[in-house]
Amino acid sequence: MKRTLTKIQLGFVALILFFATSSCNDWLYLKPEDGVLVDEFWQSQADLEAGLMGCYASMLGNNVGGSMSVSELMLLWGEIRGDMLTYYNEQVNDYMLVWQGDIKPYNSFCKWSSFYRTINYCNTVLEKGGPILSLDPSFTEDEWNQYRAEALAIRALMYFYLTRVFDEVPLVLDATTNDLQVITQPKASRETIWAQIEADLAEAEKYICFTYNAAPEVDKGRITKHTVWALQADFYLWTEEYAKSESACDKVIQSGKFWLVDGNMEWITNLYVLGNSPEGIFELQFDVDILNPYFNLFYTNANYRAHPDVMEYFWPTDPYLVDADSADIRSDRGSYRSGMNYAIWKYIGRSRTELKSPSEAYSNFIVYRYADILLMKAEAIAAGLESDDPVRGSEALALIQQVRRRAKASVLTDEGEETSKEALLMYVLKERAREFAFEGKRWFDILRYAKRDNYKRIQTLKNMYQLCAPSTKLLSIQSKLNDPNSHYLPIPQSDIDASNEQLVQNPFYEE
Amino acid sequence: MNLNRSTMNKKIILIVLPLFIILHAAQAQKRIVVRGKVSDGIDFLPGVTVVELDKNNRIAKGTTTNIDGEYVISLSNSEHKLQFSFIGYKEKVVAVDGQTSLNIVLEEDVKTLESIDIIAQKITNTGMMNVEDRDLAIPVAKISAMEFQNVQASSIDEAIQGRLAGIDITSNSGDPGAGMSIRIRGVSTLSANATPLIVVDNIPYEVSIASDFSFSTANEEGYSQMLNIPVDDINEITVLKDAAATAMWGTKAANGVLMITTKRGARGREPVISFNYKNTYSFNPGHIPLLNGDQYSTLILEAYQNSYGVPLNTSIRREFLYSADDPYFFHNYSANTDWLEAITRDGSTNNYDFSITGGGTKAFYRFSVNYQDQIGTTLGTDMNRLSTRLNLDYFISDKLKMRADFSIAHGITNANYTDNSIKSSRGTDARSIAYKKMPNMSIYEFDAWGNQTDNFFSPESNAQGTSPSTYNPVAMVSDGVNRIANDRITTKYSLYYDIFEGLRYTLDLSFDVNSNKINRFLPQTATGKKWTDQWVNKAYDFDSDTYYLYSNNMLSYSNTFNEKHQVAATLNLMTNENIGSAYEIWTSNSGSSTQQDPSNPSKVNESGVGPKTDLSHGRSIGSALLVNYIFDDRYIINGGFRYEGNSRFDENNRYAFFPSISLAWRLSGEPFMSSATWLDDFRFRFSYGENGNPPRYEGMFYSNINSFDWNYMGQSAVYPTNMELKSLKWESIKQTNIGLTFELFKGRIYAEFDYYNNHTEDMFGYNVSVQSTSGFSTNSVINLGTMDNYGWDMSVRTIPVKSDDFKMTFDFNLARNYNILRELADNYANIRNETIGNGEYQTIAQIDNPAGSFYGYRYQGVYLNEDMLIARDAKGNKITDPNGVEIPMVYDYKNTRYFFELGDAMYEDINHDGNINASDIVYLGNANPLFTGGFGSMITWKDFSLNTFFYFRYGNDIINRTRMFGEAMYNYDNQLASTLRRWRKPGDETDIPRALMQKGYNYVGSNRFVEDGSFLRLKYITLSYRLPVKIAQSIGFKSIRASVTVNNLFTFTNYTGQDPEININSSDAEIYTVGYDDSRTPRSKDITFILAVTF
Repeated sequence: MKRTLTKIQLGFVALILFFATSSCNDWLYLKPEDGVLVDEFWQSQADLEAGLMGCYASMLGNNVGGSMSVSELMLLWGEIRGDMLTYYNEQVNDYMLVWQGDIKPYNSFCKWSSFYRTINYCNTVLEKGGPILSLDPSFTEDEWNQYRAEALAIRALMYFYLTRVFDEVPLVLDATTNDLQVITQPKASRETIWAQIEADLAEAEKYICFTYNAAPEVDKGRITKHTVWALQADFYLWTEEYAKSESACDKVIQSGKFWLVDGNMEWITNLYVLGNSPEGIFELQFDVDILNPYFNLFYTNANYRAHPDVMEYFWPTDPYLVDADSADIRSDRGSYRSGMNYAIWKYIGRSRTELKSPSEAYSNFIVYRYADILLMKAEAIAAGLESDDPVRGSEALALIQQVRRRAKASVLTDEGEETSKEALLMYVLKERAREFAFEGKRWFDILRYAKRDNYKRIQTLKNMYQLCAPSTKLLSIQSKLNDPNSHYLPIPQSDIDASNEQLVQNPFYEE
Repeated sequence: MNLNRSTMNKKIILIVLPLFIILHAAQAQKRIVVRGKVSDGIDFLPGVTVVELDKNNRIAKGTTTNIDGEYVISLSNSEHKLQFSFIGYKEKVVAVDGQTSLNIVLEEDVKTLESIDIIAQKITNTGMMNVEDRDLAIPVAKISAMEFQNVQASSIDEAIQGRLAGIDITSNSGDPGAGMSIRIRGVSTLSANATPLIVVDNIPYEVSIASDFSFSTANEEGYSQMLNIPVDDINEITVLKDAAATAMWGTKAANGVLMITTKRGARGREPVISFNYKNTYSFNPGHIPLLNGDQYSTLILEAYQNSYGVPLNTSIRREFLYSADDPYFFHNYSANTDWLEAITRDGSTNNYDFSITGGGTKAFYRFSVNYQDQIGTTLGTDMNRLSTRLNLDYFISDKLKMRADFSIAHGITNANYTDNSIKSSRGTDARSIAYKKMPNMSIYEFDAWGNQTDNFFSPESNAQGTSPSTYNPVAMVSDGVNRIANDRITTKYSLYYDIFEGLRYTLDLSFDVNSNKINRFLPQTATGKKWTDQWVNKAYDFDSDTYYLYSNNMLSYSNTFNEKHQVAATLNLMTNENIGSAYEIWTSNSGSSTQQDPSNPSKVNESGVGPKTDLSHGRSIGSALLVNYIFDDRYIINGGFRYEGNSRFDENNRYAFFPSISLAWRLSGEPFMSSATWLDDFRFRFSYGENGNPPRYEGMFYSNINSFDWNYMGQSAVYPTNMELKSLKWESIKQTNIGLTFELFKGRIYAEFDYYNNHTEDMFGYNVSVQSTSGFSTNSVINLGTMDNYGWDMSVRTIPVKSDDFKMTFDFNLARNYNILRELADNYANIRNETIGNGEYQTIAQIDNPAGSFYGYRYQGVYLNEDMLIARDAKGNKITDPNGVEIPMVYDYKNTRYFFELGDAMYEDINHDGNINASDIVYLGNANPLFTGGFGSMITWKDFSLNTFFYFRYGNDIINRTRMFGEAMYNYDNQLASTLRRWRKPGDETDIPRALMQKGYNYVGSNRFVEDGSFLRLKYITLSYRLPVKIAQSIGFKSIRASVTVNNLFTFTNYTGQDPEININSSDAEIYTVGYDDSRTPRSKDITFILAVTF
C-alpha cells in the first residue's frame, strides 16, 4: 500500500510541475469585448468609408478632453483676437486673458489637439486605404482615389487653419497607431507646410468629384471639387499668389452651381438656420444627434456677445431709415441682436425675431459660401494690382457691390466708386467683416490685410483695438503687435512639455 | 473564450482528482464485527455514540447504544479504533486490535481545569508557510485584535492607522465610507495605484470593481467599499513589507501585503456568545471663518473698482444693489448666510456586533453578524451595512481537513451628488461650493413682495456664473441623490491533505461576487437651470457586477533532520480571473425633482445622456517555489522563484520572472551568547527580492475601433480609440532590506529596525500627456522612469512596569522614507507650467530629487509704498533706463507686462532684473514627511485599562489651496475672513494684497500658501472597565466590559488649513499635485461608548 501511495504522490508532484511550467499563453490572451480591433477592421470599402466619415464627424464634436472641438475653434480662432466679439460675463478666464492681450502658452485657446486628431484620422485613412484594394475585390482604384482626395483635402483644411493660427507647426503625415512610433515632432517651416497644403490640394483637385449623386446636402457636407477650389482661393490669398486665387474663384463662379440667397426677411433662416442653401459650398453638418456648440457659447452659457461699439462702427445707425426691416439684413437681428444685450443672433435665432430652443441647435457651420468666393475674388484682384487700374478695379468693386446689394447695405457704409488698390482692399476688408460677422473669418481677414506686402498695413491691425480693447491694456496690446510673431498663438505648453525639447515655442512667447 | 475557461476548469479537475485517488487507496480489507455494552460503572448508558475511526481518525461509520446500553458495529478493518462519546462524559477511544467484544465504562466529565498555560512561540503566517516569529528573515509588522478592540473604527484601515511602522494611512475624506489610502513604505510608483494587496484568510481580497471601467468615478466608489470587514471579526493583521516576503503573492503584492486573519472557532470549546455595542458621536468640526454677506459685498465692490477703475454697475449686477426699490433682489441678496453651517451637522454611528464561537472534536465554527449605521457630518451622507460571516473547519480525519468561509455584506452609502463635472477633485462638491458661495444670497427664495417661500433660491446664473461652479449647496445635499448599494458575497473553500508526515497538499478556491448599484439624481432645485437644459433633473443608474475567481494549488513540505536541519518548502500554482460587466444610463429632464429614477419619462436620446455598457475580463497565473532552511536554529536562509503571467501585456512581455532571497542570523543562538540570559532573541536579517506590477487596465495592447456617438449625414463614422501599447513592460521593483530584531528580558523589550531600498524600474505613468500632434493627447500608460524609495523604519514595544495588578506598556514606531526620482522617459514631460499663473505652482519632476517638490515665487508681502515699486539690482540700487528714468517692477515683461501697483503681492526678484518671471521661480518645499510614526501606551490596573495612541507626521509641507483660493479675491467667490486684513488704501500695513477682480497676479504660486504640515494628534484615548469575572458569572455572564473612547481629541499643528492629515497622493492621480490640500470634510472629534458582553 505504501508503494502505491508514493507513486501517486510522485505523479501528483509531476502534475503540478507540469502545469506550473507549461505555457498558458492561450489562457492569458483576452480580446476586449467592447470594440472592434484594428487588425479586424480596414478590410472592406465599407470600413474605409466609415473611417472617412469619422474624419468629418471628428470635426463636429469633442470626444477627448482638453481641447475645444474643431468646429468650435474654427469659429473662435477667427474671432477671439478680432474686434467684433467681446465677453458677456467674465466667466471664460482664458478669453478674458486674450481680450487683455495676455496670451500665454497654457491658455486653452492654444490647444490644437482636436485638429491633430482629425489629421491623424485622415492619415489613418490614407494609410489603411491602399491595402484594401487587394482585400475587397469590389473596391476600385477610382473609388480609392476619390476617398484619398477627400482625406487629403480635409488634412489640407486642418493645416491651413493651423498655419494661419500658429504659423509654424509640426507637419505630421503618417498615421500614429502604436506607441513604438515616433510621437514627438518638431515644427516644420512655413514653406514646407504651405508646399504640403498646396500639393495636397492639387492632388485632391485631380481626383475629387463634382457631386456625390446623393441627397443634395451631401454635396455641401462632403468635400467636392468646388470646396477644393474655395480652399485654394483662400490659401493663395494667404500665400499672396493672387492670380492663382482669382483663377480658383473663377472656377467656382463659372460652375454656375452657386448663387447668393435672397436678402429678404427669410435670409437668416434660409442661409444659416436651415443651411445647405444654394450659397453654401462646404458646411459642417450638425443634426439632432450632435448639436452644434454655438448655441451654448452664445446663449445657454452666454459667454460671448457682439461688441456694441464695433457693431455701431460697421453698421452705423441711419437716422433716415424708413423702418427697421429695410436696414442692412446683416445688422441688428441678422448678425447680432441689440435688444438682447448684443447676443450673437446668427447662431441663436430661428428667424429675425424668434429664438431657437436648445434642442434645435443643429444649424451647420459654414466653412465656405458663395459670398466668400465673390469677396475673395475682389480681394485677389485688388491685391494683385501693381498700380491702380480702373478697369480691374471696377471689376473688383462690382463683386463687392453684388454682395452689398443682396444685403441691402446702408448708404452710410458705401465707400463710393473709388477703384484705387488701397481703397478696394480696405473696402473688401470692411465688407467681409459685415458679411462674415462671427463666422470665424475676421481675424484672418485683418491679419491677411496687415501682413500683405511685408506688413505694410500693420497700423490698421493696431488701430482695430481702439474700439474693443480694455483701455488700460490698449498701449501694451498695440506695442506687442509690432512683433509679427505675436500675431500667432503660442504653441500649447502641454505639447512643448511632452515633446522632449523637440518642439520649440513661438519666439514671441519664449521666456 | 469559453474554450479557454473550460481548459482551466479541466486543469483544476486534473489537480483535484489525484487527491481522491489517494484517499481511496488508503482503504484496506479485513472486516470484523464488534459488540458490547457501555456503562458509567453503575448504569448502562443508552444513546451513546459509537463510531469507527480509521488510522487517520477519519469517521468511517457510526451507531448508538440501545436502551440497554448495547451496541453492534461492523468494522471494515480490524486495525481501526472505536470512539465512544456521550454528553456529560469524557470521550473514550479504544483500539479494537482484533477483539470482537468490548465493554466500555465512561467517566463523568468534571471540569477541573479552567485554563491551561500554553507555552508556545508566536507564529506568523506569510501566506505560504507558518514561520515562527523568531525565525523570520523578512520585515513584517503585526497587530492583533487586542490592540484595537476598544477603538472606534468603521473599517480595519482606520483601526490600524499609525500603529504599524512604515505604514502610512490617511483618510481620503471624512465622509462615511470614504475609504483610506494605504502606503507601505512610501510610494514606490508614481502612478496612483500603490495600494498594498489585501489578503483575507489567505485569499486575496479584490478591492476594485472592474478596474478598467472607464467611468472616472467608478474607482472611488469601489474603493469606499473596500475592506468591508467589521473590525470585530479580525484576529490579526500582518503587514509584509518587502519583496522577499511577498514572493508568494506575486506581482499583486508589489506594494506590500496586508494580511488579515479573521477569528475562527477553536477545537473542543463550548459555545461562546458575544455581543458588542458601540455608539459614536461625532461633533461637527466647524470650518474656517468666512466673510459674511455684508463683508463679502464690500469686498466685491472694492475688487471691481480696483480692477476696472469704475464702480460695478449694480443696475446689471443687481446682486449688489441692496436697494429696496428692487424688492426681489433686495430680499434674496441681502442675507448673511453661513452656507457651510447650513450643510453640516453632528454625526453618529451605531455598531452592533454579535458572534458565536465554538467547536467539537471534528468541527469548529465562528458565526458573526454585524450591523452598522453611520450619519456623516455633511448633510445627506450616511451609511448602513449589514454583514455576516461564517467560518467553518471540519476535520475529516487527522490527515484531511476542510475549511469553508462564507461572508456576505450588504451596504448602502448615501453621499452627496457627484458626476464627472461635479466632483470633489474639481472643487465642485457640496462643501467646496458652500465655501465659495455668495454669502449675501438667501437659502430660500423670497418672492417679489419680500415673503420667504419654501423653494430653494437657485437662480440660473448670477455674478458667480452658472452651475456646476455655483449651485445651491443646501438644495444639493437635500434633494440630490447619490446612493451606492454594494453587495459582496465571498466564499472560500479549502482542503488540506497531509500526504505523509511533513508533506501537505492544499487547495484553495474562492469565489467573490461584488455587485454595485449606484443611483444619482441632480435636482433642478439645486442647479436652477432652465427646464429645457440637459442638466435639469439628470438621473443616473449604474449597475456593475464583478466576479472574481481564485485558485491555488500548493504542496508544502517541512521537516527537521538530525534536530539541526529544519527544511520547509512550498510549490504552488495560483490563478486569478476577474470578469466584470457594468451598465449605466443617464437621463435628463424628468418632469419634476421628485422623479428621481431614470425609469421615469425623460430624455435619453441626446448626446451626453443615454446608456453605456462596459465589460472587462482579466486573468493572471503564477507559480512559485519557496525554500526555507534553518541550520541549528541559528542560520536561516530563504529563497524563492516566481514566474508570473498576466493578460494585460502583449505576448512579448506577458511573462516575468521574480527571484528573491532572504537570510537571517540569530546571534542569540550562538553558544558564546548562552550566558546572556537576559537576551531572548537577537537576529540580523537581510533580504532581497524582485517583484513587478502589471498595469491597471486590460486590453491596452490592442487598438480599438469605435463609432462616434453621432453619424455624419446618416452614415456611420468610426475612429481608432487608442494607440496600441506594443512596448509596455512590467513595472519591476527590486527591494533590499537589512534589519535587526531583538527581544530582551523575557519580552519586556522588543524592537525591530529596518533599512530598505526599493528600486522601481519601468515605473508606470498613467494618462501621460503625449505631444498631441500624434492625434492622441494622452497615452493611457507608459513605462516612464526609475524611482528609488529608501529609508528606515523602527518599531519598539516595551513593558516598563509589570506587576500583578498593574501593567504598563509603551510602544512606538517611527519611519522615514526618501522618495527619489532617478530617471524619466524621454517623452515624459518633467516640467509643467513653466510660466505659472494665478493659482498655479510650477511642477517639475527633477531627476535625483524627491517627487512632490513645490516650486514657485517667494512672497514678500505687499507693495506698501511707491519706493518699493522701483526695480532694484543686486546691490539694492534702483535700476534706471539709459535716460535715467527709474524702471518700475513688472510682472512677466515679455508676455503679460503687468506693472505692479500699490497693494499688489510682492514677489522676490531673485535675479534682480526688475521683472518677475519664470526665472524667479525657486524651490519652496516638499510634500514628503521627514518622519511619520506613532506612539501609545496601555496602562492596566486591576480591572481598568487606559489606552492612548498618538499619531504624527513631521517635516512635510502642504500647499494650502483652500487658503490660496480663499484669499485670492479674484472673482465673485466668497473668501476667508482673513481677507478683512487686506490692503485697501495707501498707508495700510498688511501681508494680504488688495482685491483685484479678474486681474493682476496676487495669488500666483508662492511660499505664501506653502505651510508646514507637521502635526501630532491624539488619535484616541480609551478608558475601559471589565467587570470582575466572579461578579459577572454570578449574574450569568462570562465577561462584561465597558469603555469610552475619544478620537482625535486634540491635534498640535501650525497648519492653518482644515486638517493637516491630508491624503498622501494627489486627488487627480498625478505625481505633480502631491501634497495639495483642497477643502475637505475635516476629521471630526468622536466620542464612543462600547459595551461588550460574552456569555
